[in-house]
Amino acid sequence: MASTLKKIILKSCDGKILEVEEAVAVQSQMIKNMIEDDCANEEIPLPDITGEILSMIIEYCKMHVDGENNSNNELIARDADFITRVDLNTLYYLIVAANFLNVKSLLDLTCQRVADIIKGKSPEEIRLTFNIKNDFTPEEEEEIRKKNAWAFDYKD
Amino acid sequence: MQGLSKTGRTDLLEVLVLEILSKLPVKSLTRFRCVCRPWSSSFQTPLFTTKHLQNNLRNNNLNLFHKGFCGDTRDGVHFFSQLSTEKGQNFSGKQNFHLPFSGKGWSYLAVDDPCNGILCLAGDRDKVALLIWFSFSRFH
Repeated sequence: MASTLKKIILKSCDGKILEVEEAVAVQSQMIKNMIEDDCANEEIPLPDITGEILSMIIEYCKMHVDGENNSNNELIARDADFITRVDLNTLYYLIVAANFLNVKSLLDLTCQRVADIIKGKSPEEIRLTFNIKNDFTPEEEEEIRKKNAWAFDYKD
Repeated sequence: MQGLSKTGRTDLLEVLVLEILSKLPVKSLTRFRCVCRPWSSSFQTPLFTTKHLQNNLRNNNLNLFHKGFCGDTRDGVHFFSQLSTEKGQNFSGKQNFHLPFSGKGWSYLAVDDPCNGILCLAGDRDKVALLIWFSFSRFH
């Protein structure tokens, strides 16, 4: 019955058209809502998502639909394999897209990956990563550091 | 270093940054309190602390600060511990385990009614201690 499977047509911001099986597309809560509201019969434009990022998201959703019968451990291993291939810059776009499309498990996975990457960093490195200006006075910062000295032991 | 903001696009939405931060171990989060004022205050909102607690419990981590009173010492001492909530682990320490009673004859700990990051610990045969434990940010 594969030929009768309904396809959802997605269009990325750089004009790439992707046809996706409904079962895969509904991994996105946003698209699921559109289908339920009967708004997904024509192509769905995704203004902030490039074709490259969209393909990755579809790959992820497909992996989860195909792996429905797999054990939890297998899915975790596949997720890990998927996410460790992604660099920090791409993670940024994936997070924005997963949030927009409302793919909860992918948002969790990508945010957890960033957390794992940054968890050992110093406050200075974090400010660079997130482009944050330090608005504490040196005295205030020193006070926080003193009060939480144990957290500045980088050994673990 | 390649950054999350150097993409030629606007910075990550605050809500997404907080989503990431809520998945950090408590030690990193404590260190990042001195990154900037908005982060420091965000870490103390009920929404954030609840999310952080839920994320850590999902990873079978129970992150706790506690103030302990032990033996004859009248001064409370702060400690941080990460306990495992995995089944069969009986809240064993996973890392950063600075319990004041380890090595002082405390061989057994009972954990009573963990509830939303607050729980009581009671210890062992001839020693008496009352400990009230808090999840990460409730301490502050």
